[in-house]
Amino acid sequence: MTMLVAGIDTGQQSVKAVLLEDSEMVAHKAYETETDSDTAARDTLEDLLKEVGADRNRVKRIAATGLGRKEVSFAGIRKTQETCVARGAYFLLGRPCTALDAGAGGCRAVKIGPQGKVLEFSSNSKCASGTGSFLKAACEVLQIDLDRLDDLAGRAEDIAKVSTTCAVFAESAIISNVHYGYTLESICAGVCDSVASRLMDALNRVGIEEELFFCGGVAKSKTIKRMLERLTGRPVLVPSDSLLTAALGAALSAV
Amino acid sequence: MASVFQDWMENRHEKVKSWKAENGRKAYGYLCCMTPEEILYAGGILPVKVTGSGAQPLEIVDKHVVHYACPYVRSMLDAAGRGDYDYLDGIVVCNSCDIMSRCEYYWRILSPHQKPTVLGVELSPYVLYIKSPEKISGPGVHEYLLGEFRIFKQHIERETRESITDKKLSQAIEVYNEHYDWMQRMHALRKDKSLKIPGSEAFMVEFTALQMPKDVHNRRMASFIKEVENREPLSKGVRVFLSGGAVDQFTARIYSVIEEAGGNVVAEDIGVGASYFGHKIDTSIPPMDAIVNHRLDVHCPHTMTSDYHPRERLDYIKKKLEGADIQGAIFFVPMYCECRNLEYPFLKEKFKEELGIPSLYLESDYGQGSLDEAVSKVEAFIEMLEA
Repeated sequence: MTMLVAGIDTGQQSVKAVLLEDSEMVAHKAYETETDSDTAARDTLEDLLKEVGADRNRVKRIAATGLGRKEVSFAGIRKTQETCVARGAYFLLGRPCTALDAGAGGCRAVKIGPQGKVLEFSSNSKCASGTGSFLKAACEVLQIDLDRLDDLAGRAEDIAKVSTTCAVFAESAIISNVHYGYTLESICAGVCDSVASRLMDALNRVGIEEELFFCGGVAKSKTIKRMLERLTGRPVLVPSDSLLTAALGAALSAV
Repeated sequence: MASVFQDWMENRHEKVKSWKAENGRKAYGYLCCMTPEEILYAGGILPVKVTGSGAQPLEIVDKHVVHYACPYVRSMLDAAGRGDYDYLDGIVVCNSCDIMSRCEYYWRILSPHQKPTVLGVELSPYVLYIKSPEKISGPGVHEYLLGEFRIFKQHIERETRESITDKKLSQAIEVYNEHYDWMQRMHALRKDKSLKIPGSEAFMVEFTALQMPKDVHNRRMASFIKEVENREPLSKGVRVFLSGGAVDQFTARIYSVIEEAGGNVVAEDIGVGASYFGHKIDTSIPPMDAIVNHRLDVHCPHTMTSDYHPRERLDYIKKKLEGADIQGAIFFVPMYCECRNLEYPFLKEKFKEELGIPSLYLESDYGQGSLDEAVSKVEAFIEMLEA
């Protein structure tokens, strides 16, 4: 019986877990976090093991990453998001790239070299702009969900710029744009444009020399992906499940 | 032995007050390492480095200094306004940067003190201002700073009603040279492959030298260095260079953050004490000239030489790093610090190109928040260097 390794990414909004067997992904899950990081991580892993019909004794090593990695009491390995995103992205692409990871609570650009080594990184600082939290706050103001925001933004003919980089002030900037008579599509495009601009700040600090790999919850937005492609002038690669890259990288750290 | 230094670090205000009471002497605070401490020491005055407090919120300074000024200087001024430094008999301000140069005004306003007067004229103001040159080499620079230091010396003589003779200055220089010697020995030990002093402890030793009387500190150093030499080497950690401003008893936590992440600061450029002084004061020339030369050898981010800035800063730092075998550089820069922020992009690029060393930029708001936020970034950086 081959042993398994697990990678758990405990983010601000969700817990993602990946099980690897012989470096092949055998199962993965992503749950909204409703409890503390430790409990959420434990529940997610238990569900994952149930899914593959294995018990905890089959798990050789567990690695945790993400905002709540230090709270995951049963993890034997803890790695930062930057390291895990690099490993995950390199595993998926098989070549050096620049990864952009934008989650609910943070965003980072990581320049990745051969063997998934982190060459340079830049993370956001105590600021929600460029993160999923910013998108979520905008959705609350506009009373729509994330998918609809993305859909509307994608159909916009012009962009109602959000004239601030602060997520808190952005709320009033969005309301002002409503008063100025912009279409909902333009306003949604303005929200996505604001996130893309902030992500570009992180990217510009590390520079893009290779391909651009985009992951994290924000990478689900097709509009932001397109905006990044326009701003960088190159294709942006988004994995089929953009939430799992860091958890995958954590699992690879446990191999 | 380190506990003596720790005691001074944690209770610096009380320690200075006790020293004053026990010795019946005065203590002057200074804001910048360009201050000629040796002149104060020769005048029987204890020079004490003024720092921020880390206290939040800053209630007093907000009425006087805009939010987008250096948070470290704002904290110092707030402490002054609260009376934390009322035990000091004078303050020495240098023009280390724009906001620092304005501290001459702010300090007078926030912490007014009456000084003895003759016919209504203060013999020596409570706040003394030294205008140090930005350009630290070239014609006329030495003479200019000598003039500033002479005026400063006269103020101290008026304050103490005693002449500061060349003999007294030479004696002070002897004590300070011993201090620079000890610091050099400690720096040499830190560069050693088998590291025996954690960066946090070395910082504490260096920082307390800015609070304690130098002769007392020197005596402690003799036994401290001996004790360190007999220690077992620390477990291996990633060797890091720390550059930045506003590192004091509060922000010194950055050392622990680095150590807890698996790194160790083995060299630095942080604007306190002997870190800045790579050599001793020349004893073969008149003492005032020697002190001037010594201060003109300080290549802080504010200064310039005949060579182009910031190339000369890079060369200065590279010289300090010789033999330190560093693997990464961490730049811990206060928000709105134009001096350090202007040079960072160049230094980062050249560290990579010429030394093959990656850099991490950390912005400090001189608050707990930025120290907490630094944890994850430092951990990621150390992981990157370890891989």
